[in-house]
Amino acid sequence: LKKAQEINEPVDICLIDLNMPDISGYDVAEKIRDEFETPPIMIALSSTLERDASKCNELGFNGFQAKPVRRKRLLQMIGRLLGEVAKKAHEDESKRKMHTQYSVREAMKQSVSILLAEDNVVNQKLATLMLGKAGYQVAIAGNGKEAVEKYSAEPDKYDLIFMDVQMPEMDGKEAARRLRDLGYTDVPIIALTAHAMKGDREMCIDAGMNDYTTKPIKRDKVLDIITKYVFNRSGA
Amino acid sequence: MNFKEMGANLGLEEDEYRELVELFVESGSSDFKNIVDGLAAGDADKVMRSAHTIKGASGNLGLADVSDVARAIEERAMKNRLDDLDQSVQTLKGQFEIIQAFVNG
Repeated sequence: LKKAQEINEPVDICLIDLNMPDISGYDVAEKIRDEFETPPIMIALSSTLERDASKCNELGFNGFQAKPVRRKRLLQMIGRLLGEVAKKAHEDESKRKMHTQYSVREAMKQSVSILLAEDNVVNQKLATLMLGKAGYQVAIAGNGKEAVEKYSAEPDKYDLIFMDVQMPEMDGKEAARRLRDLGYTDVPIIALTAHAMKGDREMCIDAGMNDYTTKPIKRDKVLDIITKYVFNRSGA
Repeated sequence: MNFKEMGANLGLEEDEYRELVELFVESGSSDFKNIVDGLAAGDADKVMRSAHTIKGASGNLGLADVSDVARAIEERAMKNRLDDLDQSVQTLKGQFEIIQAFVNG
């Protein structure tokens, strides 16, 4: 890094592993920030994402990626961050800036793909319309078995799975368990449950799901969940 | 029923909502038939599954009355009590007819 500084070759993006021998990623970031007037975009790589997130923010990292790093997520993030830099360079008016941020966010949404496992045709169509209007891509699986097959076929395609709990052939809990057993530990799985019964949430979490929302589906809740598990997760 | 308002509650246009209700009436009438058949055959599981489907779809569309009746049927069937469901089934049938009439509007 010092060499790069000496020969004064502009570096646009630094990927910095937090856990390195001698000098930690944190120290590296601090140093970069101190020594460069306009520091490059810095993306932290860490296997313990949650614990490090706030510290990374303080040290001026622009984003975080959990290890193992997934190609698609990383590229999405780099694209977004470069877009933000370009935007900052070209636009000063705060109004226009807000507008652009909105557009970037909309553009991000277009690249977010959601797998919905749900057997009810009306609910399938409703969710497709609702999420489609919100700007997301939606794919449908008619039961748990189909969801496992669809996801396993293209694991990099989907950013989040909504999983109906009660489905024929294979229910949502079993499907979630199988996906986790297959090693897909990263993708957020959100249970859609008809029962507001106590213990239901625990059963979904036990099956490897991240969260749940009760039916009937509430638009705001569903969109909040996507924001929470897709955007905030990737540091947006 | 105000389709425009009910659609807006879900963030949908009136014609999108109408389309969903049409789909509900179409798929729901076969579910309803399954309830009637299940009751005749004493098949509690069939009654339960079909009522569950109607409950879920109508609930999401904001058709609370339909959803309530379907839930009542589902819960009875879950307890394997298929007696005394005639009233609920008749109510459900009437609700489907009303919605159908609105769709045809």
